[in-house]
Amino acid sequence: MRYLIRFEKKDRMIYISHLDVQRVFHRAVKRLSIDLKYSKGFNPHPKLSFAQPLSLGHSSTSEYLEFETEKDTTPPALLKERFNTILPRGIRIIDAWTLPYPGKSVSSLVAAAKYLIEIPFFYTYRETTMEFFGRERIMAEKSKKNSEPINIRPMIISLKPLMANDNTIALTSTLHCGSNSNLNPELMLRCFYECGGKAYDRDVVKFERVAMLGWSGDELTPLEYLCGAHTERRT
Amino acid sequence: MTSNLFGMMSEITTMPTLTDRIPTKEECLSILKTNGTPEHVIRHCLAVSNASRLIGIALSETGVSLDTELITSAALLHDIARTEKDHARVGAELLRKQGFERIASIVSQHMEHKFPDSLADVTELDAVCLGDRVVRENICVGFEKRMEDVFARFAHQPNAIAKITANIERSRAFIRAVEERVCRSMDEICGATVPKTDTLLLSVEKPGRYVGGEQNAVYKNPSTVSLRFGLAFPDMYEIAMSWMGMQVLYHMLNERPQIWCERVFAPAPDMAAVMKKNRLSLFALESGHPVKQLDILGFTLQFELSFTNVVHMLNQAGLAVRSADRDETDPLIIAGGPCAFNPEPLAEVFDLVAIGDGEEVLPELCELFIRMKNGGGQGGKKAFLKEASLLEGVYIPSFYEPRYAESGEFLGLKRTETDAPPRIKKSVVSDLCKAFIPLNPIVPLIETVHNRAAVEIFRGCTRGCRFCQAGMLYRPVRERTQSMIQNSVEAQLANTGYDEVSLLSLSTGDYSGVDVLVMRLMEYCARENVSLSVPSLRLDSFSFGILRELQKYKKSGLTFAPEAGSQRLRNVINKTITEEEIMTAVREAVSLGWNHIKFYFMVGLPTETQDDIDAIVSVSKCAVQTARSMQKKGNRMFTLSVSVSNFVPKPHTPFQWVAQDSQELLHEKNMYLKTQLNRIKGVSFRFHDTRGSHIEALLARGDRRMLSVITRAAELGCRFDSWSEHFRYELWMQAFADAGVSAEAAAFPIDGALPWEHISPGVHRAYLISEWERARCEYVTRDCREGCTGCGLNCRKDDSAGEYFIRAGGPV
Repeated sequence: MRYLIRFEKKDRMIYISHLDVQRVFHRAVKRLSIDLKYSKGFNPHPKLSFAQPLSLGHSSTSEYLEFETEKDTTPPALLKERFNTILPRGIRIIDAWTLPYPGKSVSSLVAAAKYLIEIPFFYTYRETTMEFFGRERIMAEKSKKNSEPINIRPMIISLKPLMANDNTIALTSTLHCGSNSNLNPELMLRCFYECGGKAYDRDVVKFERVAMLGWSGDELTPLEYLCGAHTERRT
Repeated sequence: MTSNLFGMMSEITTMPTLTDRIPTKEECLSILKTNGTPEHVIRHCLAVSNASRLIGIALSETGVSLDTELITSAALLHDIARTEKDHARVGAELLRKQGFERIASIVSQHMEHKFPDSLADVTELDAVCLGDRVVRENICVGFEKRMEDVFARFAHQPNAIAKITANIERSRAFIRAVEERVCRSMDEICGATVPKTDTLLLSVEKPGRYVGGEQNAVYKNPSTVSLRFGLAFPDMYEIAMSWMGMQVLYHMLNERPQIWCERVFAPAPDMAAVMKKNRLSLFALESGHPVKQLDILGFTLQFELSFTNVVHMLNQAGLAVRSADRDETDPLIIAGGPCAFNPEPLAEVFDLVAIGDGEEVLPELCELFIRMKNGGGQGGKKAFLKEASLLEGVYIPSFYEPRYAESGEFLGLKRTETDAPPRIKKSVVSDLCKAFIPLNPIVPLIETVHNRAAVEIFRGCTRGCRFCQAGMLYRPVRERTQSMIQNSVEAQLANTGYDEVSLLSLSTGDYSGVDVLVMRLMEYCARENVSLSVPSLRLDSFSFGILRELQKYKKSGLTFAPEAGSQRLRNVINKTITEEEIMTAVREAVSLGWNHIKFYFMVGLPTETQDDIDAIVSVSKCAVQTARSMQKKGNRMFTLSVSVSNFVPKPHTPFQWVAQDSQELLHEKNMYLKTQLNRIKGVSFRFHDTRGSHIEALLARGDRRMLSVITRAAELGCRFDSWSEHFRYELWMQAFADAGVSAEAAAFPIDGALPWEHISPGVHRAYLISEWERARCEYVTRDCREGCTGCGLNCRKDDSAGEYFIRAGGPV
């Protein structure tokens, strides 16, 4: 049986890395005696695949994990419950589905992700957003190793202020995400600060991934709708 | 009245339907914004939402069926109409119009709600209302603090106060019920006590070190325990969590409902700097509370190069380093572990030192502490220490005073309390099968050195290697039964989900029936897709039988430890393996398919000559040639890595009196080996920092005067001295100079007093002297499984030792 689950990573769990999360799920699966399919080879390991890694320090309400069992046909709702009794506080399954055979891997469907970004208040945030989003080219160095600057503007699908109060601005932004084209919201935000002539301070910014999306025609849709996940009515 | 009726009606109409979905956080924020809810109210709603969510999650984790998303969003919207009169009703109306029935129902009732009598009746509404009652404006302050505001507001209305008090009592009862169910205090559940390290952690390396929350970590309500214990490891999380003793002591203490044992680790230098800047105290990992709030802080001393971290951790906790400078309100600072067998360098730091097996002495100490505390705690710390000093394995440093000759020579300790024992015998777990064994070890979330299940199969070692401190300290040998080991392995794996398990001991191959045990475990592990690791195997033909089986499943690294290059020197250290046996082992390894092995040697051993060092080179060369001659064409070339460490004389061993080679000489020897070994094709060479070994030797055999060196070194910036990137030799040298203490690891006179001789691991001084003399005569002493060697423990009540020595020759 193929399963897809959506989980959240919050609170203290934002401080553990993607690799750590993988280990958490490997162990959870082992403890629940779910008969995962193992890879063939000299050092067999269970096949668990995450749609997309999440940066350390970011929270998320929308992480996806896909796996396949040998014989297990536990109903998704029960699977969710069993996982939630043993996962560490801060990681929680929100939804579980079964996936059809044959089917594309969920990670290959990811095209974009939506983020909620909280930054300290500054007066010109509206102008900065307009100007930043209005640019045709935004050059940025993607990593230290590869110092060739690239244009990240095409990877920004949307960016808008959601609300603001005396000390905080909440922005929402949809960015390219996935193996084809990927933009880390931190890099986007650093350029945003540069554009507004502000100093960027990682310590006071909060990132939360709120959706992971794929293309359905020319519309971005949450992953579960793209892969034929069998949803169950929630009770 | 109307609101009650309204509440009932809404309950009837809010049966979940397909259209009644729950808006996401983002949608909620946008609804609030569209509605024109003021910013400060939104901030309040965000805080309540977070607190309510945490309460909801805590309850669902105990099996209460609650929809946490409904809670989160309802709490976020609960004050949407706060600026209106009768805001609960108006807000609910507004939300109902948008189709959020269930949320509207909660919002409508949130002002008048009374908590249920039983947790069986708890709903999402209760979580939202409770969240609302622990938040002041936009800060989660906890229930009691919040109620202070309410009282203040109604102070001049006696009628209102009476009504409120009744309500508060009801709320308190409900909170108590939740706390009992969740086993944590409400303040902790709703996040009122979470240390404000949140944003600080983003700027440090591996923040996962500081957050706790691992599977099998124990959280208790501090108000329901009598003793709060901090188990402190003076190094970083990933080192500390790889130590099996932590799991044993932690769960052993936490099994007792009246004790909450938490973990305390040394923050890495970057975190320490951040904490200092933000004036954060050293905290206990589980509660996040400052260490000062604990009753007892117990350090484990696993290696000497962690001593400066003890000083730093006390500083970070705001505690005086010397016990004499602390008062009754400070926690009791205690220590244990192998380095406690010479506690003198840190003696003036600790109120109490526990010698020997912690499973035995620690619970006794804790029970005594609780008994005296519950009895009113008369006489304070001093009275407790006096009582404790009567227990086996307990050393109270303040009850003893060192005496020195004018020349500076150490003359011994004088008792200042008449009842204090002249010698402190270690405490011993006589039956390891009855000793506590953790079945649900904490599973670290981040990568640690050893992240696997581990079961100790026996304690102690019979080999009697003369350099080995562990071999002397952990006598006698005590084995766990096969069935117990097997059950423990299975339970640990089931409770953790680990995919690796390791059998622990000082010499695994010596376990009675090790072959049967390993075969059985291997069958089980293969079935469960778990890998079994069996370290510390001696490489005799017997062990190869086991290895042959093991490597069918998973190939691991192979390490041989001849310890010394020449037969002569191996006799001196009583490592009885012969060169022929080494070569046989190499051949076995190659024939089983290994094309890389590791050799482990020491330099600077007593009586070592140039020939002994050259022998390391020739043995390595011979091993490579032997292996090559067996390899077929096309095999990957056999390689050997030679790892050399520097001999450090340790207390309570036959070599406790000898001088250590100077740091320069050790370095020279290593450099010589490097040149020689690099000439042999296929050999790689690794050696240890000789400067670290030098400091280790000085700390290992220091007396009380060493503390001024350690505190000075800490002051100069020494910390994490076992980490090569943090070790600062020149600062240590300066500390020795500043403190006026010799930095020479000189010999001790064999007839003089030793700073650690008041601590007794059970091995007699006469035995150590005899072993030292036999070493110099190059006589080996048999493995004491073959018959007693008269070390003094007399664990078999057998008198054959004298006879054996007469037959074997050499000094008795």
